[in-house]
Amino acid sequence: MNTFVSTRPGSKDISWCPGCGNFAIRNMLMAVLADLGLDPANVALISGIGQAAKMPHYIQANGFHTLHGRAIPIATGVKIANPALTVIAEGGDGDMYAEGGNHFLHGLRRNADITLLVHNNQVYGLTKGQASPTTMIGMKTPAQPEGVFEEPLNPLALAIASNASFVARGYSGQADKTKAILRQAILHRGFSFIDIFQPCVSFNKVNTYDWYEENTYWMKDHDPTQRGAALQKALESFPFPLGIFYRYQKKTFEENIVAYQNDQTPLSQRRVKIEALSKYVNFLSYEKTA
Amino acid sequence: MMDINLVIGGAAGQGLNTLETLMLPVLKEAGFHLFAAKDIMSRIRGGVNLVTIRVAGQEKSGYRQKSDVFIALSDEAFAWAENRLTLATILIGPATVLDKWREKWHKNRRYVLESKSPGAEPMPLNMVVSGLIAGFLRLDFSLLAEKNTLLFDAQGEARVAANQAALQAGYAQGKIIDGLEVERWSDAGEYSLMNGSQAVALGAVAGGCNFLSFYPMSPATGVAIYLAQRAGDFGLVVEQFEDEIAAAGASIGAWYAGARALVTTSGGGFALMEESISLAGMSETPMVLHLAQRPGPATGLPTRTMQGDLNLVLHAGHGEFPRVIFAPGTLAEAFYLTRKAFNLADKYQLPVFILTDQFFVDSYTCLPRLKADGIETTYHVVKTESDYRRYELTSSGVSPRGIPGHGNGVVIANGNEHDEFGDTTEDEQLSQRMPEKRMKKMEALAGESLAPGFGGHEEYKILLICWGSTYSTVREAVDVSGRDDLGLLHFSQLWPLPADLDSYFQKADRIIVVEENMTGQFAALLQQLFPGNRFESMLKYNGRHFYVEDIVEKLEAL
Ligand SMILES: Cc1ncc(C[n+]2csc(CCOP(=O)(O)OP(=O)(O)O)c2C)c(N)n1
Ligand code: SF4
Repeated sequence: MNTFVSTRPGSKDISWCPGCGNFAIRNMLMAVLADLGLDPANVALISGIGQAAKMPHYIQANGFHTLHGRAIPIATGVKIANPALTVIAEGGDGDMYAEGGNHFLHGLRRNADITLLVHNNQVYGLTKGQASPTTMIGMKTPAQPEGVFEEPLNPLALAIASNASFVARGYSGQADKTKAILRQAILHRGFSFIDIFQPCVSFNKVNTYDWYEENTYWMKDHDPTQRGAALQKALESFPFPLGIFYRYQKKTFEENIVAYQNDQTPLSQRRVKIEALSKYVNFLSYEKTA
Repeated sequence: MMDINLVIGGAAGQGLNTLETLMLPVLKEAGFHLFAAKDIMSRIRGGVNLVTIRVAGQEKSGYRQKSDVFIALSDEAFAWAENRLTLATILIGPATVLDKWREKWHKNRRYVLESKSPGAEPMPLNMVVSGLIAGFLRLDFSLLAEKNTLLFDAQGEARVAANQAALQAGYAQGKIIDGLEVERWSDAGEYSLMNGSQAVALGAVAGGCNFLSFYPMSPATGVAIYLAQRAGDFGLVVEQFEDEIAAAGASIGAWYAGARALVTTSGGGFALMEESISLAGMSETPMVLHLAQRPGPATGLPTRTMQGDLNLVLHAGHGEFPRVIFAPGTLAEAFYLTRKAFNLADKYQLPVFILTDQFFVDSYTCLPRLKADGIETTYHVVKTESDYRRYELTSSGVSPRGIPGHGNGVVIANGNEHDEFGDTTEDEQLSQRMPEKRMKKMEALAGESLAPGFGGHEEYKILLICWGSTYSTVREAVDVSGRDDLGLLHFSQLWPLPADLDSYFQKADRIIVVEENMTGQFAALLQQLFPGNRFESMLKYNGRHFYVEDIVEKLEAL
């Protein structure tokens, strides 16, 4: 079996800044995937656009570096085509909550068995430091010179309100505990959403490593099966709780699909069903009249 | 008679759709050739909807304007459809409607439609009309009774019985109308009946489609509904996404992982999908997209027809990449070309578009029986080795396409410019070689391009050109015009075009491109590709399909 290495022949340097939180997230992901005994040939990493979204190039597994905001629908297509793959949708907070905001909401509703991993550095990295939907009020950027005044999005509360299947928050500076969450997110059957705080050392001078250490804490004695309590936790700030907020096991998207209920063969291996086709091509069949 | 053109007008909600659903199979089984088109307003209740049913004793699928029989179920329908009437049109309708128009149309033969039962309660008008049509065409009533049971069984015995009574009442009224008997068609048994949506949907299934993603938009939704209702039978997944952007993205993800996906949309939805089309172009992910055109810009005329999106499809997506555009002219072509679209997309790893329009997808026609077996569906996916390179530079421009989980290798696809592995690159050499590799596919594709179909007179002076859905109507107009100097060239592939068309053009004194848009988009494309010729235009762009009469009139004036 292949292993999850970080390079390919001819790999160029990594284009992340030294000290960036993305390195830690990559290392966690490689370790967890390996630890779960997965084969890179059966893992698909689908990313959007942004610094975080460059991940597929720094882990040797199947990958698709797609478009800004679109990783979730594309990952959904991958999962539908072949439910046997471990599918991870991945990108930054701008990617998933701004451009991809609609897909985020509907991904939660659709509940395909995908792990959504959002690198939340509370800023746009790749386009050099503009505000993102999670930038804190008052932070000044070149594009928001008077300081951000919009209410930051609360993705965890949104997800819990949507009765999402798995909702968690980690922090790239705390690898062991975050790895444990990541592992559970991947193992969880259904749409598992994990937001990971990730310092951007180049453009976010507010939410630094020190800031995250001071303003986060790991939840103890929280029962993630309780939606009300989970929502309460998600609304807490300064300090921000870390850990698994909510978990709700329900039928996945794939399990609800009629074409997979009668037949487990992945779409990628299905061939034309001549008998079914013959039944329809030559007879006008009545549309149902309701 | 060889054929009659029947126009039925009423308000949305008066059941014209159900009438069509019930009557078309009845008429087909009775042994007629059929062509049926819809003219609908964008509203759920009220307004005016027209159904045109051409019942013929031979293959006739042109869209005729003038009706032999006009059945008006509402006043507004009568007013709206006056341009479909002549003094020879037989008028049928409730007394209230006919009386109102008596003065203006006093010379016409007229029959009052009675829709009260002997007990004086009203009967379903669409069923009375169905019975009436069966009556004046002298059909066997048992055909109606049988289809009524089949179609309405699920709605309970009372519904079936009420319909039956109404059908009978209408039948009796139809029987007394003379002179509308149409010869039966000897080939009826060799033909089947479907609409454009079904032809595209079934062609997709024949091409191996096993995933369909969409966001509802008229007139493209019919394909999705048809397949959604048979998803279990066909073993395919149909999902309605949150928007067109997601629908197109999911399709790309599905192809990347080895499914064969179809997206169905209309112009407004297509506009939202453009970034994905560009992604398909860069990442060399196959894509098959059905675009059923309607008039724009923006929301335009949501339930009407236009060939206005050729330029959109031709230029969709930013950047430069190869693509293929089909525009079927007949239902059989829609089936076979949609099937082919999947094989081509898979083989060349690029977007393939099927361009239809509202008129095409909503019209029913009899078509020669399709062949489900003996279908050649080709698959081009390779099993990957551990050193697999998704974008291997090859002389044909086509790199062997692996999919995740099939072989030892990993498959890295990328919407950024990339090296052979799929990793992002800004290398000067690669940044030139990769786009060249992608565009190289056009050479082989051009060689595979479908030649246009030729009809009309071999020794033509005037060459008419049409594309897509207008085929049958233009074809009939050429026949009817009686001119012996007309040639007709119909294109069902619009891009890439075969190179060797000049011989067609050079023979003609005049070349006239018939299309349903305002700027002559296909004419402009031909002008650009074949600058040594002059391409004139014959256009219609009011949201209605050409009538045979429109074109005949213009041909006579040439
Ligand atoms: C459609 C589109 N709009 C805008 C961009 C430009 N863009 C690239 S990355 C990015 C934001 C990145 O921020 P985030 O998602 O938070 O990721 P980070 O770089 O911080 O990891 C933007 C706006 C783009 N590539 N595509
Ligand atoms: S810009 Fe910020 S997020 Fe991007 S690599 Fe540098 S530090 Fe990391």
